[in-house]
Amino acid sequence: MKKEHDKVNKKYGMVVDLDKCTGCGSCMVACMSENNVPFKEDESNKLDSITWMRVYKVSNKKPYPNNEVFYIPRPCQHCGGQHEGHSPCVSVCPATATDYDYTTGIVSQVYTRCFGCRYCMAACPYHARYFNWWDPVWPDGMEKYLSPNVSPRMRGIVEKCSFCFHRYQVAMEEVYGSDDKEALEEGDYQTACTQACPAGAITFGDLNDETHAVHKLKDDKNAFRLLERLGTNTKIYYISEREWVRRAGDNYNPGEKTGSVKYKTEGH
Amino acid sequence: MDSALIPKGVERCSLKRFLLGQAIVGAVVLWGVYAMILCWMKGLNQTNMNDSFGFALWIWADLAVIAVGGGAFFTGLLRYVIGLKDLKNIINYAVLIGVCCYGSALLILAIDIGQPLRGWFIFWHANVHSMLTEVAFCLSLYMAVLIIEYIPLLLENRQVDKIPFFHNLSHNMHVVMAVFAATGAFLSCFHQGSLGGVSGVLFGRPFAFREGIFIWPWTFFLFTWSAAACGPCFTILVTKITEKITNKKLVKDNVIDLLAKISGWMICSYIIAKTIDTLYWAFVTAPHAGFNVMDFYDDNFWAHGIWILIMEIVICGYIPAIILLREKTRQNQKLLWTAAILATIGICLNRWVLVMQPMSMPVMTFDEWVLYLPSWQEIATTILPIAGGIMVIAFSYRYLPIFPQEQELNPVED
Amino acid sequence: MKIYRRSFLALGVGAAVGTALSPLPWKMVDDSSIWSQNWPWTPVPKDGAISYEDSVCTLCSGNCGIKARKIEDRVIKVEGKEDHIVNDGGVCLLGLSGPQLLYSPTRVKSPLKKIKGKLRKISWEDAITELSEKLSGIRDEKSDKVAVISGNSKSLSTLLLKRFLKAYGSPNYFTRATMNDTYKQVIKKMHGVDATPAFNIDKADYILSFGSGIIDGWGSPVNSIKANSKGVDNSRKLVQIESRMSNTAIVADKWVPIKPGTDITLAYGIAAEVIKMKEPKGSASLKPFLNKYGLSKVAEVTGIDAAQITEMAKDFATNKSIAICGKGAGNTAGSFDEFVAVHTLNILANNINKKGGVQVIKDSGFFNWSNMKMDSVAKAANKKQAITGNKFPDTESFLNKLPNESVEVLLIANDNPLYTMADSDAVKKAFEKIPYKVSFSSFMDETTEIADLVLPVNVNLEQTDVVSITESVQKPGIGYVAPVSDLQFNTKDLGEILIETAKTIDGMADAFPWDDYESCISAILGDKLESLQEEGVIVNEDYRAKNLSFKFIAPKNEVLAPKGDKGVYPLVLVPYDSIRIPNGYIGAPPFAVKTVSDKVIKGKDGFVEINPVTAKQLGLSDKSSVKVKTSEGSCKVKVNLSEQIMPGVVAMAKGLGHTAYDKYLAGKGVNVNNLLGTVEDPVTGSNCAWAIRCKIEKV
Repeated sequence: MKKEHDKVNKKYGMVVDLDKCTGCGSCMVACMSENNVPFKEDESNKLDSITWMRVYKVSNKKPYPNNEVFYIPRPCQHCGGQHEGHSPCVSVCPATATDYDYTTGIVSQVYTRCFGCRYCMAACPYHARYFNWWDPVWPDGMEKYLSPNVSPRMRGIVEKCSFCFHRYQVAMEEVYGSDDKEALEEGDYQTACTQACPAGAITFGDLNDETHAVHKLKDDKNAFRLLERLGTNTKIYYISEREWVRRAGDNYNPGEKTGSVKYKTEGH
Repeated sequence: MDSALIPKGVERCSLKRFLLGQAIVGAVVLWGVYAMILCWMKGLNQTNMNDSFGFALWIWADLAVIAVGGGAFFTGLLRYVIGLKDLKNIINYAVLIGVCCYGSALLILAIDIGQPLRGWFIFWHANVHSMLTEVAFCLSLYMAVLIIEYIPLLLENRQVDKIPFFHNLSHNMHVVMAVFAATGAFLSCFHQGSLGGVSGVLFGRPFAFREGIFIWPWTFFLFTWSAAACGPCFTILVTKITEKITNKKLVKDNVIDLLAKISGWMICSYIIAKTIDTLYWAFVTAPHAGFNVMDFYDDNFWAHGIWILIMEIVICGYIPAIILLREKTRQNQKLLWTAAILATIGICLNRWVLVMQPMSMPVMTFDEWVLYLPSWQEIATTILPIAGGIMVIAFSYRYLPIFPQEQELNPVED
Repeated sequence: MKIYRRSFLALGVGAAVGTALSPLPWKMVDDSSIWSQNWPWTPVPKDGAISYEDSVCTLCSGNCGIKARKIEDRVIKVEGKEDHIVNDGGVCLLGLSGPQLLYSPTRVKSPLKKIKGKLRKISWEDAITELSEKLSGIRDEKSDKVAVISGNSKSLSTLLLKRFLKAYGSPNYFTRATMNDTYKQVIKKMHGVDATPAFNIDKADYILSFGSGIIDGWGSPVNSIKANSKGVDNSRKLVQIESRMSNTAIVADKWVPIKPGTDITLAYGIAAEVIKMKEPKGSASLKPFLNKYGLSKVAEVTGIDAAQITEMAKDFATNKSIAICGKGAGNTAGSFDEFVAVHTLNILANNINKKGGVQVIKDSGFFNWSNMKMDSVAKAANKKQAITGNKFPDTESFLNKLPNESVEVLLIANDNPLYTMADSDAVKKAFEKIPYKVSFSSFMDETTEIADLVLPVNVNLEQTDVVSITESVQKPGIGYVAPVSDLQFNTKDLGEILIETAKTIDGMADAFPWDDYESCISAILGDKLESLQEEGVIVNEDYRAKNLSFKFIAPKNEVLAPKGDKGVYPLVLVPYDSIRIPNGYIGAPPFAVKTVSDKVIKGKDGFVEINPVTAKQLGLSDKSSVKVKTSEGSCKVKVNLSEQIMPGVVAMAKGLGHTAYDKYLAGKGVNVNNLLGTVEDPVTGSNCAWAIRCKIEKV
């Protein structure tokens, strides 16, 4: 089985340049707009505010004037796990409502199958999963802007970033329907956040494809992933020239060098 | 008025007093039912759970009641499979407590899920890799087994027993009960383990994660072991409470003593295993994930302090183990009570810690600790099945011959 | 009896077993879950043919190229237009929220007139007649008692509004002065030319930013962020000088906290060091003046280490450098003296009209206005001075003078002065004196709520307009705003309303000779229109700026003290711009509000950012409730302890505390404008206040 995956598989992923990220919030709103993410009167309780893409503001905790800060956008990390497909959430979902797509490496969420046990949320260390505590309600007239490509989620289920999977489907439909196009090109399938980012901080593409920018960027000497040592094997890479920023990506024991604790993962 | 239904040769309080007591507990049940309906109609926004605390009070309650309900399977195992005859005098009650506990767990689960109408997807679209799927299958099967174990008891009601069909059914069921008990013990072993696996497999949550054998993390075995160890203590505790309330001796001391002794050995072996697991986790697993074990306990002292670990292992682990192991101490009623209570608290605390602490604890370096306090709806729905259990136990006690030794220990003067 | 009871029992059990064995319960279980998957109250968006339509965003003066994704006639999403000269695909969160604004329930859905104290629906015909009669009635005697407050927009429709007032016969056209307006006057005084400044920061190697929020909405927001990213790629060095760490300071290579109000001293202090290393032609006259900015004195005044100043000067002198000013998003005017000081650095860097430097651009006329025919009323009125005198017609200055002036009719377009201007209470009072106020707002905002007549204009996705993109692209250019959506409500384009109204007022029709707005646009753009509509932009790529001569100007002030008595108000309150909280004419849409940190809004509470050292002196802890008091007003907020701000300085976000709009915005946080006062710049006449003194008390 696995060999078969290997041959044809794409592995979509993202590289985010944290030295460029300005914390402007465009990615968050582009995502909300693209994916029919609902909003409610009070969104200041960040523990029940659905933000598939969330930008964290992180400080080095030093007192003025030595304080330094960086912003870090956090979509679903689309973990591959220690052996491809063993994502923290996919492995625990009792109803196969979240699944690992071996052809793209994307972790999906089937809204109509999820029955809201929230085990996946307990499993995810990135807080990338959100529960619909409330019925989604749009103010009178605003439901007009809802996109038919993504179904609005009902109360009582879990949702999360899908790497704008519907965009992949639309792009693939074009490939299937075209005589002279055999495969997706890099620009054919991009996520909404990547597209909107004014700073051009996000690069998205097939990590396995040598012609894609992400393939090279992920091997940058300053690239790192979040909580790498847990073996989550994520597909979101971050780049920063600042050592303290890279160190904030993982937990370290005293004496360990930043970036020295990469978890060995199989495959791909 | 209901004397025709009351088992022969035993004394029960007046119907009026019984109904009054039931009404008080019934009011609590109604409160819980109201909260349950709120949760079903309005959704889980009625709770204080949030995206960090997706698992909270309810999941803890599930784990806890199933852990203490472990007395049923373990006593069943000892009675029917290993053949400790003496335990037949407490097995009925152990089964009854088990029914209440497992019923509670299923009810809470039905409230806890965001889409209760789709709850059966866990069977239909089952993901065999998920510990929760294992839990769901074993839990429902074992619930069925418990009901089968409970039915003969029900059939022993004086009026029901008069019907020949039911009388024969009851008799025949008793004959095959060993098979069910064995099945039940296996199923229960498995889902107790799976429940342990629920947190143990979370490799993204360093507080919960444990290494293990094959697909089973150490918590899988520890949960089964601890349920077997502490479950009987809970059975003893409930029996003792029942004796206090009814003001009667219902089970002979030698029966209790046997169960207490076995429990003592189990707790002792469990707590040693748990200690080894904790040390390995603290000094190998946690540093491997980049944590110092004290990082796990360094927030709000009262909510997450290190006391919780000491409480669980030393005070609610070693102390009851020592009390129960020594004949002298376990036969001292006060100490027996103490041990039963501590062991019950200990196992509940263990479940609490494994549900709550992984949720509160930041894993990403820029995350923060999260505090959670349940809403009244969560508390009411958690108390609901407990109150319901009390009602079921009261009914069963009044109308069914639960305690075979009751007549002998409390001769009725006509 | 017994038999009966048993029969019933048997029947009951039989029925139960029978039902359980039938498909009914299974079917019901299945159906109920299918129902849960299709709850009728969870919307299902209609599918249909997809299309994309291009336009230019007018929600701020950045004027990004956008494309609207549509399903049939519904706008589903706004995206940035790839390869667009301004934003190349990037887009800010306000632009992205376009559909929320388009379909917002807070929009004004038809013309309204105040009848018996309440705004009631009227027809467009009645509305224009009403306006026209009101204006005609007073035109002969007191046409100059009509005033306009307009947002600072560089659009054709705004120019039509200006023309409307001029043809009507009033000099009282006011607009909010921005940092660009101040810089223009600096260019005029130092170089002697009327030109627009633009800053080529993406090509500079060293940027000295005096509080300019390059990535906080300054300039053309997306364009500036893009420039910053290019800079990061080229390893440019950005030094951010400000007392609160903005997002720009976060991405900067160095954050240099400075004592509030001492930027002029620092700029000249650096200049004094620079001139020791590098002396461009013509700067000799500056030398004696700079002598008084000794390093140690500058260090003392600004609170910045002398070594740090020397380092900045050295870097500035040895790199391709640029110095920029205009605090935060630059939406408010700056101090003339400060801008002169900063521009002096640019002259020393010899970067004027050079790559990576300040571009001084003379707008080439894309608009072909016919000669305006004015009648005697208009001619007479235009000889008069505006209420603000001969200085820049800044709305803030106008509002300050308003209590002593009689204005009969006030027209308000693209602004919400009751919210956006300093000291809102005073503005409200001044407004009460004006008998007739007309709002052209698309939204039921604070100002529109108190208007006597509301003529709602189209929102950005419905508009037709032409905007100048010169500042954004650093070359003369215009962009075409095309309507990408059908009109959602009974609204019109501003140009359309003005042309229709002008035709009905005696003596004005000649100045508006076009049949309608559409023919007005074709007449003004001539043969350029077709290519503009096709390409979306016209940019004069061949534009080359000339070399300019310059003269230095000595400052009147060395330090700009914020308003307020230091004894009573020991702290300095700095309002700040956040790109996530639009703070101009349009209130933050729900998407934007959702992105705001819980350290800026929590529930309904707003926050004041305080350094822990200051908080300790005041006995305050994190999240404690406090009252912030200034000479202009006070408010209740919570404390946000932050290491990202200087001790002695406190900060509050702009854009919050709306009383109008819906529950997603109204009542959240406080409007910091209520606490601010104005300081009129002695040279430009514009409000140059950037902070105010305050005190903080425990509640």
